[in-house]
Amino acid sequence: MAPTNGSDEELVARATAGDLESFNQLVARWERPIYALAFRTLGREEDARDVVQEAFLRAFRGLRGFKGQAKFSSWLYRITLNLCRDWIRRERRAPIVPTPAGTDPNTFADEQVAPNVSVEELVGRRQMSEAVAQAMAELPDEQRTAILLKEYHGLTFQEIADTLQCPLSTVKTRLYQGLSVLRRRLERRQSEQASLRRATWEKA
Amino acid sequence: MCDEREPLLTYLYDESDPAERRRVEAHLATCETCRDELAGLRRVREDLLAWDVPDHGSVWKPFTPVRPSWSWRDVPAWTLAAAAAIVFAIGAGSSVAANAWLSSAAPRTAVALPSAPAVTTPASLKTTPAGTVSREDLAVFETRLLKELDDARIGAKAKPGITGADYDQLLAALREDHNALVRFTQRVNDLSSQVVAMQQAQQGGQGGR
Repeated sequence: MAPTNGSDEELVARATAGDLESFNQLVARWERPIYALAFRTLGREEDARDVVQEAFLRAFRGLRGFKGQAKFSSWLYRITLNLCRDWIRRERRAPIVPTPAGTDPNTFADEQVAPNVSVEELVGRRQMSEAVAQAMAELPDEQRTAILLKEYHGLTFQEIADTLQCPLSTVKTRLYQGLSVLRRRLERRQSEQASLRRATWEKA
Repeated sequence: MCDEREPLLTYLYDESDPAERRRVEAHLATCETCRDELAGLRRVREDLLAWDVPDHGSVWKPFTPVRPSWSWRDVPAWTLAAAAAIVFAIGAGSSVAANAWLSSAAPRTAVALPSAPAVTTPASLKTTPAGTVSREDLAVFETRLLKELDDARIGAKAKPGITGADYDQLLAALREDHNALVRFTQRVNDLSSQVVAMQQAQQGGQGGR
């Protein structure tokens, strides 16, 4: 693929004028974040892939209607989140918590690991990842979305407000409420694990 | 400040303006509750970093740029007919001869075609994706139309009710409407590119499933 150059807005302008390669470059630039957003919202790789593909197709079809009143990325995030919302409605269920990978060290055999990371640390990290996924999946959609955009996509409060088309204060409220719930859940999990370890140690 | 959460949140994400930042820091220096709250929020943020997204390949099948050039021979028949239609519609009025010629040359012409919304996905485009129309293409196209008109004119002498004058009128109209033809052909080209892109988009959509 040709080297990516130009701002998103320049690429959008060229793509709108019919330059398909510019659109390919926009996809190359944004596919990973869009996939991450879809995956963390839906919890399943297959669904995330479908949403990513559909999001870019919709973006392509809607290019002429994109007036540049928001950043291209905010617009793309909004398309993606709308598709995720439709998907959740259609499936009539909450996001899926990714399947637990278990704690069998063999499952990590092909994982890229720094040499000084022990299997115990790796297991711990995997479990933490699942715990976060679980806690996030249980949040109300609006709170989860605000946290995703802030924590994993680095949007400012204002950019989140633009993306979700809601007031700035609403964004902050959702974010604060979501973080508070997560904090309680994750702290409870940690104290449960600590007491579990103590019990195991006492038995031994 | 303990019951206002917004300033603390803004501070947490480093989005406070300098005045607010000083105010929050001054408060934190004296309030243990808010210090604990901030520390708790920072811990959650660290925990959130643990959430990995599995590696994945690209799901996007890149659009391939439209072929850079084509010959007018690739232009589907409907395009030709539509181009003829606009020429006749603009230039020749409702000459009986024009209609006669038109109905033999392009029996299924939709005269409304140049206004475009009716042009959706012509089946012929699926096998002959069109690219840009060059001036040369137009010239060849026009020459061909003129020749066909000329041939028809000669043939018309044998037909009752159609005079050579009708065809002279058509030829004049055709020349006058060269610009209309250019515009129309560009419009067709534009639509063809869009159709090709949409088809690629659809194929891309099916390919990844």
